[in-house]
Amino acid sequence: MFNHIFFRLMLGVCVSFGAHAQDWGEWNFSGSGFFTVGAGVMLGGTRNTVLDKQCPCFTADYAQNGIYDGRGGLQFGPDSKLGLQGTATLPDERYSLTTQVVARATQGHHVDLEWLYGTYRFSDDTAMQLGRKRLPLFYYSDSQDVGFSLPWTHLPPQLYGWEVVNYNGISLQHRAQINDWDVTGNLLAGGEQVNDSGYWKVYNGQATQTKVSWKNIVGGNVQFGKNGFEARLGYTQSATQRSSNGVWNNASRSVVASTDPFLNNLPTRQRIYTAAFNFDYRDWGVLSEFIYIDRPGANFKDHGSRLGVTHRFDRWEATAHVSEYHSQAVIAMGGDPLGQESHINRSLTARYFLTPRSDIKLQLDAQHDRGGINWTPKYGDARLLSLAYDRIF
Amino acid sequence: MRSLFFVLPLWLWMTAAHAEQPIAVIAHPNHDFSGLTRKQIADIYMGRITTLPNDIIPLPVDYLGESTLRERFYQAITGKSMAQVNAYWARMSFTGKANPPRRLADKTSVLQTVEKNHDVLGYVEKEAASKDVATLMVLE
Repeated sequence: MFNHIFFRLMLGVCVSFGAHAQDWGEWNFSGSGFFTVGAGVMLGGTRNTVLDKQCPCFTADYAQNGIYDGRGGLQFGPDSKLGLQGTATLPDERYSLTTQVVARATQGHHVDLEWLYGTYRFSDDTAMQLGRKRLPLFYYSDSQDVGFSLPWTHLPPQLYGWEVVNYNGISLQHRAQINDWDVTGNLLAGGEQVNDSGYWKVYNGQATQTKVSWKNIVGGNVQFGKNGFEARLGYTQSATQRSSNGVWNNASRSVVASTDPFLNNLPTRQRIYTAAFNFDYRDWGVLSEFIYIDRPGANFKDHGSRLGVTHRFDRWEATAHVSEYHSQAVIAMGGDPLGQESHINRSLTARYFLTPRSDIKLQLDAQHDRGGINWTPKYGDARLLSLAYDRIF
Repeated sequence: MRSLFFVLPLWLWMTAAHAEQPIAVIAHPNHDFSGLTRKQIADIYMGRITTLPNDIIPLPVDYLGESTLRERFYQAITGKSMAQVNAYWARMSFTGKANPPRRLADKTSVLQTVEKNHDVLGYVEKEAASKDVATLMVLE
């Protein structure tokens, strides 16, 4: 209840006052924010009971357990969120402190601390940050909650759905211009623990509770761009471990013990490779991104990709996009080729900029489940129409 | 028909009076920005350049609020609308990657800031550029 009131109060305050900067003594404080009011209606798909959900189901946000399900009418939860960000710059401007909190409708407006980090600038081009930040696995990871920064009503779940999206640690960034190329490099190290993973509720049921630990995260990415072309290459590795109270059994309507050793504290390692290539020419844009995850010792590997085209005209922006995910069985480790997850989503998005700081988007998603006959949970196909109003302030 | 003789000149006068003025990119008279290209100006205003090849750290200033001048300036240097520029900054500034240019209240503040600081870049409508600032480039 408190969080619900907080959500409404903050929304009202922020929209009323907008971005704000204030000098206090020799300290400078600046505040800004963003919100998305998202609504969706399921148009069709595979009607079935999956775990404890009545489907058709479309998972818009794996990490936050944001699912549009088979209920009739509009559903407001999965894509609605409000974020507030504040930065305090010390009298010595090389030092600053940044925090960002996000309240999500999908979590009953519970307020999450997404960012809390201190920055030390060695120079205008080099900075070190220490604290809690987004784990920058993907091109849009850093701004994944800021709807106004995205061309879609929700990120393509085939790539952006992951069990960990933040980390606590240290990062070093450097920016340079090399032969007319804008180059940015980022190195990071840290760890993250999620006590009640939304991601695993999607796979094991809403009543389950899974603790996820990523230790010894080490990674980096380099981004380079020139004349509208932009490429981003990333690598991240970590030790991973999960412990769960079980999986939902619909026959007994209860959570039963899981037989998956990877849900029962079996540690493993993972190596995550990502690449994104974007090209922007006049009113046209091409968007693409790829991920490959190798887990030595596990019985499957992950592959994901997306490709889209955007066209801008006047205040309009239209995006056609395809994203695909499939896991690959490692037969030598006992993986079942017929028990692998696989799905593809095709989306069309129309975006209209209401003002320079707000937009409205209408998106049609058509997701096709291509999972093997032994794969569970098999959510099936889904067609979703979603509408989002985004605003930054 | 006779009313056309009154309406037409009035419409032509109003159109001329509201024709869009070229935009002047301005700097201090003793600036070190010689040879700055349009792409470099775009990169400076989009936070992609923080240091020039001559080791000068340019300090771009912008305007608070939305205006036709801002819209036209960003359209001229980046080819993008103000909303698309703001969407870009939403991705950069909410993630601590870069901060948008410092924003001042009006053209008087921009002119005064440019007049007093060697490394500041600003922009105003061409006719507003005073003799106390140097015009680096005119954007039609």
